[in-house]
Amino acid sequence: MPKPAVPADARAMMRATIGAAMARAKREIPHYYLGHSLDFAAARDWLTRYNAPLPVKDRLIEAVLITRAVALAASRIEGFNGYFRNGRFEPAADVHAGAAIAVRGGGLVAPALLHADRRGLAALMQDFSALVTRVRAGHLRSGEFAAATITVTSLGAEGVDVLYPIINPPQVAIVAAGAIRDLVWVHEGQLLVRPVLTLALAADHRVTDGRAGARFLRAIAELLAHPESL
Amino acid sequence: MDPNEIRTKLISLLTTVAPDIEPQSVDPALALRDQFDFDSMDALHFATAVSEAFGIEIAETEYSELASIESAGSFVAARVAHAH
Repeated sequence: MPKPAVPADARAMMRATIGAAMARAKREIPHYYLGHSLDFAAARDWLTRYNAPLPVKDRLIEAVLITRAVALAASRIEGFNGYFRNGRFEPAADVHAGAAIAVRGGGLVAPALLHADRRGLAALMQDFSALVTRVRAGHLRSGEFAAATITVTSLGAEGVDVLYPIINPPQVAIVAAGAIRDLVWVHEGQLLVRPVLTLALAADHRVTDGRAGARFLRAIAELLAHPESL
Repeated sequence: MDPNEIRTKLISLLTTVAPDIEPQSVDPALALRDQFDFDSMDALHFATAVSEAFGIEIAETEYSELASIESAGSFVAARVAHAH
């Protein structure tokens, strides 16, 4: 069995914290949900070429591309990056992307990758790697929890196609990535097998509507279709 | 290197990159993903540690060889033997 990174009472506290935040989210935030499937081939091919000559420690993972795309889109499309507080939306100037990381033995944390919109892919990868290391060692800094202005979550490794996320208050949006699966896909008029990623957005209706959400998801998809722009 | 030595080293690398895993709890035959909820960052950290500790190159397409301690042991043994 995994040794708990945190003792049993601390784990119970984590569960209570998650429960309180999610209950508040479900009670207070009028969520709307949008899903968008996209051809991940360009991103994967780019990643394969990027990684091939590099030692393992310098390679990127798909989650970093997705997080970077979300951060860039959040910096460009208004209404998804920031907090809803005191009855109004407060946009954040910087994008601090919360990365949802499962804690072995139970629980979930979403500490922030600071300035994810201004960090290049290699730098963001280093930040992400260091963050996971700190989570595994139980050495997260308290400020890292509160800093996130939007959250990115993924259950791809567990093989699910879509996950329907819950916003982490006081944030106003969360983007979830499912597994990247080989599917039959129409590409330039031909039926081909392509790696397909389904993104789901949950956003706050007090701040934006579905149309803006659709624009936000399309912006993420467009960035992933042109990975050199990340 | 004999297989036991490799396995012991692999388990030590595993618990270095994932200090929340007890070495004696590792079932070498089970996939790390199933046993310890390994995500893609854990897998990359383990691959990095294996690559550096044994001085072997690991292509991205070979990450699946490191799915369990047992399969990683066979992979490393073959690579190390090949190098000498």
